[in-house]
Amino acid sequence: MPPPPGDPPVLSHPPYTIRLAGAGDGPGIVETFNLVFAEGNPWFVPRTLPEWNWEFVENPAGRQAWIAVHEDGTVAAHFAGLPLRAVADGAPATLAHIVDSYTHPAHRSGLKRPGLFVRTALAYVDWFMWPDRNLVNFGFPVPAAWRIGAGQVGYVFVRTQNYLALPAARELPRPTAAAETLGAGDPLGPEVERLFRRCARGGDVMAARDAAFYEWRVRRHPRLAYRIGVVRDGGELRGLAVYRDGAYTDTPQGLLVDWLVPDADRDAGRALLGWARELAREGGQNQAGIVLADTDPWWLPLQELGLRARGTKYVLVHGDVGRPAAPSGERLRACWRYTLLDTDLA
Amino acid sequence: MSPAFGEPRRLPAIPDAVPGYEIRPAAPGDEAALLAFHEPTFGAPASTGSRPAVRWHWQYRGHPEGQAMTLARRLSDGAVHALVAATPHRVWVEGEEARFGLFTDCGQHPDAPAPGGVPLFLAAAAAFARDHAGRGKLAVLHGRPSPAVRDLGRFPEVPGHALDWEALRSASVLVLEGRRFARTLDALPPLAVVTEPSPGPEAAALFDRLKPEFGAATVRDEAWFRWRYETHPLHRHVLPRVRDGNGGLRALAAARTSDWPLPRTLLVLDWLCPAGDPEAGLGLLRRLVETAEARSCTSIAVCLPEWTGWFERFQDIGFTVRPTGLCPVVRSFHRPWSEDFLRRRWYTTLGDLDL
Repeated sequence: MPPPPGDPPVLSHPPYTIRLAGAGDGPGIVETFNLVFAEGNPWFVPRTLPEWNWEFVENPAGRQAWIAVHEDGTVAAHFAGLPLRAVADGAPATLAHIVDSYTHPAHRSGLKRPGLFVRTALAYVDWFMWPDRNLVNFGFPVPAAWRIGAGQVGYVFVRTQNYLALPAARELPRPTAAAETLGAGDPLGPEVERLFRRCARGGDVMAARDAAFYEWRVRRHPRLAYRIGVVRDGGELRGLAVYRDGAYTDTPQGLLVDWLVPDADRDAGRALLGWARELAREGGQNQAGIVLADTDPWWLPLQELGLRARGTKYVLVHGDVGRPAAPSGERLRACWRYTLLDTDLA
Repeated sequence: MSPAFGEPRRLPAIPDAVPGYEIRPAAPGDEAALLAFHEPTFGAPASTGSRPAVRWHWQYRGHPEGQAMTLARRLSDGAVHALVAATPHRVWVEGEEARFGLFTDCGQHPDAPAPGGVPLFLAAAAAFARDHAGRGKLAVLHGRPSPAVRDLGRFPEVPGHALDWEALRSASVLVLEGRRFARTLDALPPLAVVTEPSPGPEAAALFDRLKPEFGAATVRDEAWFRWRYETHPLHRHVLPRVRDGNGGLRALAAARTSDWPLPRTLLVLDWLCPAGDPEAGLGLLRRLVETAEARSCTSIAVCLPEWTGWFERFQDIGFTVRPTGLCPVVRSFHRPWSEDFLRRRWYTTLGDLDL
């Protein structure tokens, strides 16, 4: 049984306290984050407090970070997820992308059997990793993190992630619909959620989309610039996509980081694909890539339109700690639909 | 009882011995008990592709590299209640030759006990690993256990897997639909392709030329092709080849008709063609399309790793990429050949599985 909702426990392991992070913990978390990830990485760009606030405090789906704090106030370990509101079989659910797992270098031997990092992770597991809290706890771990995560967070395999790439030179079938780029001040309203409801099929597991999500995730992103493309039908939306120039799996390219188009509306899909290709050409990119599950209803139609499937360096996993009613890897492989916008990869 | 909030869970220890059972390598005389184990464990052969005796003999007695098999047999009546079996095969990996083992028959009888909550199968698997796995023995074990068998190493409310199996990849399949056959034929060069006689030493020479493109690959030589395709007890395969005019081969494929992944498919189980010789590969593919048409197949399918040049080239010709649901598992017993390395660099085809 999950612990009762309300205030989570505060665990005392002197000289450390392990607890759920609050908004006031931002400065200490950012300081340790920048120390850890600057190690051996000359290209590291330090994270700022406004960026942390955007990611962990302003997320409309909530805040999910457990920290171990030394008695001198240092944030010594951190284990977090980025929650996403979602639907699963038509019911509300939460998914979480596991991110930013680390221990302060001066505290890596802070506790023994289990160590400080594991104790911090276990608190996250015991508080959040229940199907009625986080239905899915996913990540794209590097091999070392996978090995640790398999033992502590129960990482099980979902798939080796492939993606689809549209060569910028490729000509596309001409759509009858027209896609347009939304201006920064163009309003997003309840028509977004209505579009999402037309896209999500009965058995899907899918992160929810509405105006609040795009306002936070796309328009208020503190570092990255995205463009939102839509196909309209009067006051309704036939489709919505999000694009930015970037890199994925070590390949510079245009990225269709979100794709919200009913699978029956191929014409709207063609229009948004053409829109993305034009942006890729303008940006000097060789291709536009889109990450989808290979069981997504658009996986095959997009290939029919000229996109090519390619491998990536990423393996998608989810944390399964043996909770009753938690989805299996097979189930998630079959019915979980996602895009890069559900992750912190783009 | 669940541990307190934030406290660790531990996978249970796997016992070396189980009262009332002997766990040991299979030996002459076990065959009848092993065959009797199959139907209650895996279901009727017709529905599961399980092992009638003829297939059993092919898989284990006829295999050029022999067998590795550990069983748990009930002392009171001799019934086999758990089996871990692998077919060893030679693998070229990182410039040297090693032996890997393909799990072929792994399972647990419905009546098998779980002393202390640990399934009997795990005790047999641990004994198998002690006897057969490791550097100099079977360096890597792999296969496609059923979800039920794979999950025997998982425990409620405990993260991790007792056997440390890790998924190798979610296999994709390249499919050319019949409606594209005619247009595809127009784009493919007509080359002389032979299917007779059986591949000889020139097959190994082709593999030797090709292997630098791979980090690892099962050694595909004359003996392997004969065992895997020509002596297969249940399926008739065709092995078209493009010759180089000097007694050697430029490209080779192995295929048979199948209802997987789509009905009436020409399933290409093996594909050996250098990335730098597209003409040979396209000529070979032309023969496969012609074969599919002649057999009234409505699609052609081939599984290749995404990092190969032919994965991209097949798409250029009109193949589309689809999920298969196949997720082979792997466990490495030699650190440099890690699961991650194998995922990225091991050239596998359907010919590497017991399909």
